[in-house]
Amino acid sequence: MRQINRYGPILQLFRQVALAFGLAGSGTAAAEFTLLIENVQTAEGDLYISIGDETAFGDAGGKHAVQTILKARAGSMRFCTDALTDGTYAAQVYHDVNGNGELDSNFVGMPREPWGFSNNARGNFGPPKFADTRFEVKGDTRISIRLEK
Amino acid sequence: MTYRTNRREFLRHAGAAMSLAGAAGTTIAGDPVQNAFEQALTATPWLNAFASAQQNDYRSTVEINGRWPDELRGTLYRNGPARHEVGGFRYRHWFDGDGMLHAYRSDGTRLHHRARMIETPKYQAETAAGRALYPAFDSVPPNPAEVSSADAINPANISVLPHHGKLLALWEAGSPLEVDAETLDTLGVYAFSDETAGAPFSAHPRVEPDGTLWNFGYLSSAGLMALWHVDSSGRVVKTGTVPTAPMGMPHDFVVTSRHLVILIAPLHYRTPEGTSFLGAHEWEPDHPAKILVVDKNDFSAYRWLELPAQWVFHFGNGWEEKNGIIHFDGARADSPALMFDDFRALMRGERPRRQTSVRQYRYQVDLRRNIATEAPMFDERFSTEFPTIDPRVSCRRNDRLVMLHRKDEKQALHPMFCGVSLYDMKADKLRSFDYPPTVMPEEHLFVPTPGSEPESDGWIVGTAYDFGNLRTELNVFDVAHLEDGPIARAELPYALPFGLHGKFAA
Repeated sequence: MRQINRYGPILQLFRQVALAFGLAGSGTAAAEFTLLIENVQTAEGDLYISIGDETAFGDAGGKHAVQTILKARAGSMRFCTDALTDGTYAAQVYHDVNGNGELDSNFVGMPREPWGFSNNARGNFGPPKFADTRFEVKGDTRISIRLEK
Repeated sequence: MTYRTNRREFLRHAGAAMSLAGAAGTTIAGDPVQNAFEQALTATPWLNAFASAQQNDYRSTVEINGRWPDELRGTLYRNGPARHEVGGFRYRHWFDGDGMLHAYRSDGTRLHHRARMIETPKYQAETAAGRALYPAFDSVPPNPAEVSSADAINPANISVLPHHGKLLALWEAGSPLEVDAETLDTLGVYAFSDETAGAPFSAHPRVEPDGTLWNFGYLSSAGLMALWHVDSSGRVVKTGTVPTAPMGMPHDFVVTSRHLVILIAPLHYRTPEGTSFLGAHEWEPDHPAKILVVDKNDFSAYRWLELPAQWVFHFGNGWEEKNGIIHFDGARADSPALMFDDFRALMRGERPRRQTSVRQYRYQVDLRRNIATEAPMFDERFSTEFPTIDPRVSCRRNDRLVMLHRKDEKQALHPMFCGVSLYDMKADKLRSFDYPPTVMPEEHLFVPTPGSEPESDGWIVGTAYDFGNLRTELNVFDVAHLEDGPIARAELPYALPFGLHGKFAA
């Protein structure tokens, strides 16, 4: 039977192999973006981070500005990048605790590993909308995301 | 028995204990539903059954009147919404409130009652905050928090299931809550396995005599029906999903020797924004009721049949002939008016304006011809609900059905059920007992005599709310002599919020 995973777009993204410090490329020295990830419950597994604008959000299918994988460390973790130009983004993080490269879900598609979006948006019975996760990058910018199951 | 209306005495008993509403500290000035209910309460004794529990922990031992059968040993567990107000905000629907779990045990001469609030994550968070934080089934409190998953708002308030040595309090759209069977301590959100954690597990699982468990759960926004097959040890044998759009709100289902049968009324999930979960549903009587029939051995093998639009909360039982004819029975209403009108009116302190007629129907599904038919089960034109059976014939042919009934709509002092009936299908015989006019029975169960033939000897066991006395009572009837009234009766020293479903654990 087909298992339907409503968080599928996030998974597919990462299955394509994450690009650490992504698509920056351009020569201009950008300001620093800092993402503080809170409530990392265990040092097992990896954290999958992706940051993109609305064209990359959810099912939209566009490229993320940043995608990376960090080895998990219990407690809080900091991720910095200069790959974001000024603009409006959403960030999402999930903790692949068992290291299988996926955000595990139950048989109806609900995540079973910790995850979080910018603004700590949790959505209503499903992934949050871009409007609830969006934040502005303007110069040096700092946000935090708390991971919850 | 004497029946008197004495609210003052009720308050004296209850007032010494911690008030749940008071524990929340602040009140929302002018919550119109809270105000309307409190105003109506003083003049309407039966409404006390829909007030919040006055305590979050009840414990009492009372004398049993009459003769408690020696062989009737075990615990009656019951569940139901019991905290209807949080921080001055009164829920808008009977099904919103936080669940309270009850255990009734007899030592032969005395009845021991214990009840505790089920301390779900929602209950704990809202108690700590002193206000309603989350949208409930049909209520949206001021400034509601986002709901990331159903279990964040799970009040565990509908039913209870003793299974594989665990006691599970059930809601409809989330996980079971595990409760200690002795102390009624809440142990936490229960997962049958890692792979199924958090998936919806409805309040009416069907358990076969060998302990095999089947259940469904609906995910309205995803348009999925989840299906469960769990063995008697609690191991998940298999799960599955069936795309179901638009989703309805099925509350119960039946299981036969070969199939799961789920009737989905055309109460469709349509507009989720800016309203409660119930409010997101639209009654579309131009659409048929759909019947989903799923192969027990292969959840990917299913078919759909249709019946005229109707609403059924509860089914008694289902069984199947070798020739592929499925039989089942249910308490059928023409519309979900109970859900939208009556159960909201109760919370405002209003007597439901019209008494919704609910009649017990028998259904047949012919799998060879792919047609479904229905007909009233018996001629009596009174309303019946809460159909239950001897659990030893669950998912196989049954001939007897225990139900609550309601007669004399205009005469009744209260809007709930007024008695208990036993229908013998083979003999087409309906036997009844009517409670006194101030006593409102809750669900009654068929508890078999150990070692007897299925559906022969046993007792009908149920609780009732006496609003004349402001007491909850437990009654035991001999199945063979229901109409003679209870053979044993015990009255608790307090009245408990009117509850929903229970199970007897022998």
